[in-house]
Amino acid sequence: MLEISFGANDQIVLSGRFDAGEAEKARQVFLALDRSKVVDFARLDYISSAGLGVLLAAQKKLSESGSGLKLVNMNGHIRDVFRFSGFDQIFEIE
Amino acid sequence: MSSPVSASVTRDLGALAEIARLVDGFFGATAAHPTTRYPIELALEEIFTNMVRHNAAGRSDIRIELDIRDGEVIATVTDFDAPRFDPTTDAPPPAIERQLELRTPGGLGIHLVKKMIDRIEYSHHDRTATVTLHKRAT
Repeated sequence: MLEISFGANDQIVLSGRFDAGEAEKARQVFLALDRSKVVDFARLDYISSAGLGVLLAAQKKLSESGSGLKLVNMNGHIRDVFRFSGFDQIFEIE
Repeated sequence: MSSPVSASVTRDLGALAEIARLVDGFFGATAAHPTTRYPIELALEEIFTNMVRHNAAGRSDIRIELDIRDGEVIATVTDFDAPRFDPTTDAPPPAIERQLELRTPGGLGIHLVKKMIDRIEYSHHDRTATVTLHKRAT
Protein backbone atom coordinates (compact mmCIF):
# COMPACT_ATOMS: atom_id res chain seq x y z
CA MET A 1 0.00 0.00 0.00
CA LEU A 2 1.35 3.39 -1.00
CA GLU A 3 0.26 6.57 0.73
CA ILE A 4 0.94 9.96 -0.81
CA SER A 5 0.48 13.07 1.29
CA PHE A 6 1.64 16.65 1.37
CA GLY A 7 3.80 17.56 4.35
CA ALA A 8 5.58 20.61 5.69
CA ASN A 9 6.81 23.11 3.09
CA ASP A 10 4.55 21.47 0.52
CA GLN A 11 6.79 18.39 0.33
CA ILE A 12 5.35 15.20 -1.11
CA VAL A 13 5.59 12.46 1.51
CA LEU A 14 5.60 8.84 0.33
CA SER A 15 4.85 6.00 2.77
CA GLY A 16 4.76 2.23 2.28
CA ARG A 17 5.35 0.35 -0.95
CA PHE A 18 5.65 1.95 -4.38
CA ASP A 19 5.06 -1.14 -6.55
CA ALA A 20 3.35 -1.91 -9.86
CA GLY A 21 0.00 -2.27 -8.11
CA GLU A 22 0.20 1.31 -6.83
CA ALA A 23 1.85 2.97 -9.83
CA GLU A 24 -1.29 4.21 -11.56
CA LYS A 25 -2.50 6.03 -8.45
CA ALA A 26 0.89 7.68 -8.07
CA ARG A 27 1.09 8.54 -11.76
CA GLN A 28 -2.03 10.68 -11.45
CA VAL A 29 -0.48 12.67 -8.59
CA PHE A 30 2.99 13.08 -10.06
CA LEU A 31 1.93 13.94 -13.60
CA ALA A 32 -0.35 16.68 -12.25
CA LEU A 33 2.64 18.54 -10.78
CA ASP A 34 3.50 21.81 -12.48
CA ARG A 35 6.49 23.01 -10.45
CA SER A 36 9.53 21.70 -8.60
CA LYS A 37 8.87 19.56 -5.53
CA VAL A 38 10.79 17.86 -2.75
CA VAL A 39 9.74 14.22 -2.31
CA ASP A 40 10.38 12.74 1.14
CA PHE A 41 11.24 9.03 1.04
CA ALA A 42 11.79 8.62 4.81
CA ARG A 43 8.69 6.44 5.24
CA LEU A 44 8.94 4.67 1.91
CA ASP A 45 10.01 1.05 2.46
CA TYR A 46 10.15 -0.17 -1.10
CA ILE A 47 10.20 0.90 -4.73
CA SER A 48 10.33 -1.22 -7.91
CA SER A 49 10.85 -0.36 -11.57
CA ALA A 50 7.16 0.56 -11.80
CA GLY A 51 7.70 3.32 -9.23
CA LEU A 52 10.82 4.47 -11.00
CA GLY A 53 8.82 4.73 -14.21
CA VAL A 54 6.33 7.10 -12.59
CA LEU A 55 9.08 9.32 -11.20
CA LEU A 56 10.88 9.32 -14.55
CA ALA A 57 7.73 10.43 -16.38
CA ALA A 58 7.21 13.25 -13.86
CA GLN A 59 10.82 14.36 -14.08
CA LYS A 60 10.66 14.49 -17.89
CA LYS A 61 7.46 16.54 -17.83
CA LEU A 62 8.78 18.97 -15.22
CA SER A 63 12.11 19.40 -17.00
CA GLU A 64 10.31 20.90 -19.97
CA SER A 65 9.64 23.97 -17.82
CA GLY A 66 13.02 23.92 -16.10
CA SER A 67 11.59 22.28 -12.96
CA GLY A 68 12.27 18.93 -11.31
CA LEU A 69 11.94 16.62 -8.33
CA LYS A 70 14.38 16.55 -5.44
CA LEU A 71 14.34 13.23 -3.57
CA VAL A 72 15.32 13.15 0.10
CA ASN A 73 15.77 10.64 2.94
CA MET A 74 16.03 7.40 0.93
CA ASN A 75 16.85 4.18 2.73
CA GLY A 76 19.92 2.23 1.60
CA HIS A 77 18.09 -0.32 -0.54
CA ILE A 78 16.15 2.34 -2.40
CA ARG A 79 19.36 4.29 -2.94
CA ASP A 80 20.85 1.13 -4.48
CA VAL A 81 17.86 0.81 -6.82
CA PHE A 82 18.39 4.39 -8.01
CA ARG A 83 22.11 3.81 -8.47
CA PHE A 84 21.72 0.52 -10.35
CA SER A 85 19.19 2.22 -12.65
CA GLY A 86 21.34 5.26 -13.32
CA PHE A 87 18.52 7.34 -11.85
CA ASP A 88 20.97 8.91 -9.41
CA GLN A 89 22.20 10.83 -12.47
CA ILE A 90 18.82 12.24 -13.47
CA PHE A 91 17.39 13.20 -10.07
CA GLU A 92 18.76 15.46 -7.36
CA ILE A 93 19.08 13.10 -4.37
CA GLU A 94 19.91 14.22 -0.86
CA MET B 1 15.13 -22.64 10.15
CA SER B 2 11.95 -21.84 8.29
CA SER B 3 9.86 -24.14 6.16
CA PRO B 4 9.28 -23.46 2.48
CA VAL B 5 6.28 -21.27 1.77
CA SER B 6 4.25 -21.01 -1.42
CA ALA B 7 1.15 -19.46 -2.90
CA SER B 8 -0.73 -19.61 -6.17
CA VAL B 9 -1.84 -16.14 -7.18
CA THR B 10 -4.04 -14.76 -9.93
CA ARG B 11 -2.50 -13.27 -13.06
CA ASP B 12 -3.21 -9.71 -11.92
CA LEU B 13 -1.10 -6.90 -10.47
CA GLY B 14 -3.52 -6.86 -7.55
CA ALA B 15 -1.83 -10.09 -6.44
CA LEU B 16 1.33 -8.15 -5.55
CA ALA B 17 -0.10 -7.45 -2.09
CA GLU B 18 -0.51 -11.21 -1.54
CA ILE B 19 3.06 -11.83 -2.72
CA ALA B 20 4.30 -9.14 -0.32
CA ARG B 21 2.49 -10.90 2.54
CA LEU B 22 4.09 -14.20 1.55
CA VAL B 23 7.55 -12.59 1.58
CA ASP B 24 6.75 -10.95 4.91
CA GLY B 25 5.82 -14.27 6.49
CA PHE B 26 8.84 -16.06 5.07
CA PHE B 27 11.40 -13.51 6.25
CA GLY B 28 9.68 -13.21 9.59
CA ALA B 29 10.42 -16.87 10.24
CA THR B 30 13.78 -17.39 8.53
CA ALA B 31 17.41 -17.05 9.50
CA ALA B 32 18.19 -15.24 6.25
CA HIS B 33 19.82 -11.87 6.79
CA PRO B 34 17.23 -9.05 6.60
CA THR B 35 19.17 -7.38 3.78
CA THR B 36 18.29 -10.37 1.57
CA ARG B 37 14.64 -9.44 1.69
CA TYR B 38 14.60 -6.35 -0.55
CA PRO B 39 16.36 -8.01 -3.51
CA ILE B 40 14.10 -11.06 -3.29
CA GLU B 41 10.95 -8.96 -2.96
CA LEU B 42 11.93 -6.77 -5.88
CA ALA B 43 12.93 -9.72 -8.07
CA LEU B 44 9.64 -11.52 -7.37
CA GLU B 45 7.67 -8.41 -8.32
CA GLU B 46 9.64 -7.79 -11.51
CA ILE B 47 9.45 -11.40 -12.70
CA PHE B 48 5.76 -11.69 -11.77
CA THR B 49 4.76 -8.41 -13.45
CA ASN B 50 6.75 -9.43 -16.51
CA MET B 51 4.73 -12.65 -16.72
CA VAL B 52 1.44 -10.81 -16.22
CA ARG B 53 2.16 -8.11 -18.81
CA HIS B 54 3.74 -10.26 -21.49
CA ASN B 55 1.40 -13.22 -21.12
CA ALA B 56 -1.92 -11.71 -20.11
CA ALA B 57 -3.78 -14.45 -22.01
CA GLY B 58 -2.25 -17.24 -19.90
CA ARG B 59 -4.96 -19.40 -18.35
CA SER B 60 -3.23 -20.63 -15.20
CA ASP B 61 -2.49 -18.98 -11.89
CA ILE B 62 1.16 -18.21 -11.14
CA ARG B 63 2.92 -20.04 -8.34
CA ILE B 64 5.42 -18.38 -6.01
CA GLU B 65 7.68 -20.42 -3.71
CA LEU B 66 10.30 -19.34 -1.19
CA ASP B 67 12.82 -21.58 0.51
CA ILE B 68 16.20 -21.39 2.18
CA ARG B 69 18.71 -24.12 1.34
CA ASP B 70 22.48 -24.42 1.55
CA GLY B 71 22.87 -20.83 2.68
CA GLU B 72 20.74 -19.40 -0.13
CA VAL B 73 17.28 -17.94 -0.32
CA ILE B 74 15.68 -19.56 -3.36
CA ALA B 75 12.60 -17.94 -4.87
CA THR B 76 10.73 -19.65 -7.69
CA VAL B 77 8.07 -18.18 -9.98
CA THR B 78 6.18 -20.61 -12.21
CA ASP B 79 3.74 -19.82 -15.01
CA PHE B 80 1.98 -23.02 -16.13
CA ASP B 81 0.67 -21.60 -19.41
CA ALA B 82 3.40 -19.52 -21.02
CA PRO B 83 5.24 -19.19 -24.32
CA ARG B 84 9.00 -19.33 -24.13
CA PHE B 85 10.51 -16.02 -22.98
CA ASP B 86 13.74 -16.12 -21.05
CA PRO B 87 14.00 -12.79 -19.22
CA THR B 88 17.69 -13.37 -18.57
CA THR B 89 18.53 -13.40 -22.28
CA ASP B 90 15.51 -12.19 -24.25
CA ALA B 91 14.83 -8.89 -22.47
CA PRO B 92 16.54 -5.89 -24.08
CA PRO B 93 18.97 -4.09 -21.76
CA PRO B 94 18.06 -0.55 -20.71
CA ALA B 95 20.28 2.33 -21.76
CA ILE B 96 21.08 3.53 -18.27
CA GLU B 97 23.73 6.06 -19.28
CA ARG B 98 21.40 8.13 -21.42
CA GLN B 99 20.37 11.63 -20.48
CA LEU B 100 16.92 12.31 -19.03
CA GLU B 101 15.23 13.16 -22.34
CA LEU B 102 16.21 9.79 -23.80
CA ARG B 103 15.51 7.58 -20.80
CA THR B 104 12.59 5.17 -20.85
CA PRO B 105 11.53 2.77 -18.08
CA GLY B 106 11.63 -0.20 -20.48
CA GLY B 107 13.92 -3.04 -19.46
CA LEU B 108 14.68 -1.59 -16.05
CA GLY B 109 12.97 -4.33 -14.06
CA ILE B 110 15.01 -7.25 -15.38
CA HIS B 111 18.14 -5.11 -15.23
CA LEU B 112 17.53 -4.52 -11.51
CA VAL B 113 16.93 -8.25 -10.95
CA LYS B 114 20.26 -9.07 -12.58
CA LYS B 115 22.00 -6.47 -10.42
CA MET B 116 20.48 -7.56 -7.12
CA ILE B 117 20.20 -11.35 -7.43
CA ASP B 118 23.23 -13.66 -7.41
CA ARG B 119 21.98 -16.23 -9.92
CA ILE B 120 18.89 -16.57 -12.13
CA GLU B 121 17.78 -19.78 -13.86
CA TYR B 122 15.08 -20.15 -16.48
CA SER B 123 13.40 -23.31 -17.75
CA HIS B 124 10.52 -23.91 -20.16
CA HIS B 125 8.87 -27.27 -20.78
CA ASP B 126 5.37 -28.03 -22.06
CA ARG B 127 4.32 -24.36 -21.68
CA THR B 128 5.49 -24.26 -18.07
CA ALA B 129 7.99 -21.44 -17.53
CA THR B 130 9.97 -21.35 -14.29
CA VAL B 131 12.29 -18.59 -13.10
CA THR B 132 14.45 -19.50 -10.10
CA LEU B 133 16.25 -16.77 -8.16
CA HIS B 134 19.18 -17.47 -5.85
CA LYS B 135 20.43 -14.99 -3.25
CA ARG B 136 23.02 -15.67 -0.55
CA ALA B 137 21.19 -15.70 2.77
CA THR B 138 23.93 -13.99 4.81
